[in-house]
Amino acid sequence: MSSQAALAIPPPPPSPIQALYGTLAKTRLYNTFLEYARPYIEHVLNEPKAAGEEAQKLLNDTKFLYLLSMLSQDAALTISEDKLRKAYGCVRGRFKEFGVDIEDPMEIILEHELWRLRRIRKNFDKFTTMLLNFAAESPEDAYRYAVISTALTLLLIASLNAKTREKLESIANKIKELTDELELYTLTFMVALKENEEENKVAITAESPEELRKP
Amino acid sequence: MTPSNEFKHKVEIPKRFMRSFKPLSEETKQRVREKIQELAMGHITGKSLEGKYKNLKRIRIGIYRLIYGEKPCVIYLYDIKPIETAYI
Repeated sequence: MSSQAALAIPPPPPSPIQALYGTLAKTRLYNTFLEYARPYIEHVLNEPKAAGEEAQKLLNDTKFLYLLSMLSQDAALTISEDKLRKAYGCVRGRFKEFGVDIEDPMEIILEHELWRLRRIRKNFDKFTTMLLNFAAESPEDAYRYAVISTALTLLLIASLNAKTREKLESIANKIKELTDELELYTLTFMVALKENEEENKVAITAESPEELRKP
Repeated sequence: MTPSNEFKHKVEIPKRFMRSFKPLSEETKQRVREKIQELAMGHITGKSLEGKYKNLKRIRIGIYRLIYGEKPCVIYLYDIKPIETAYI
């Protein structure tokens, strides 16, 4: 684990599909972001397995963190579900074109992004409080969440530059590995926001298959 | 000795799970019941969530995720959720 884990508040996680959308839209902010992240993206394109290590390097870079903060502000102002779906469709289509199956992992990423966007729009204060509590209580897990989100961002952008099926397969394999973890974070945050003692109360118990057929 | 038709772990079902389970199709309900049986017999285990929710685990059942917790001799079914990417 990196020294970042010792921080009280880990770095903010980027939104992979939002970053992809901005990259495709070629706004000035994203051009700056791309220019800055280019060496990392190229490294990930050459060696997709190194996405996690490259993400950690970026998260130790204060200028990159400043850019992340700008991206978050941009997302709050401009991103929409349709834009997320458009970027998602673009990258999914690219893998499909080369016959690489990435449907399930992309669904996991889209689910995470849609959930996050909806929660931000619905109750920003509740969402950020939950994330801050999570970071304060479990800084190592929160740091890992930032690494996963950053690594996925790098991989999705790298996929746009991949020229062969082998390269896309290699990127897809790393994306699958990381989305297995991302899914657990999505569920964790969903649970954290929906804590309700009343709902936790046991209504029925079952001690055999027969009793399980009742509900 | 435990009779063969009894679970190794008791299954506790809260209101939240009941509400999520009720609208599922009969086919999905049956697949979920089968998975719960496997859990209750101690044949399978899921992956832990993160942070302070590491006591909860998830198991995939097609597009659904069963979230549950383990206590001594008890499986607590927290919720059953689909992957949510639909328009709302």
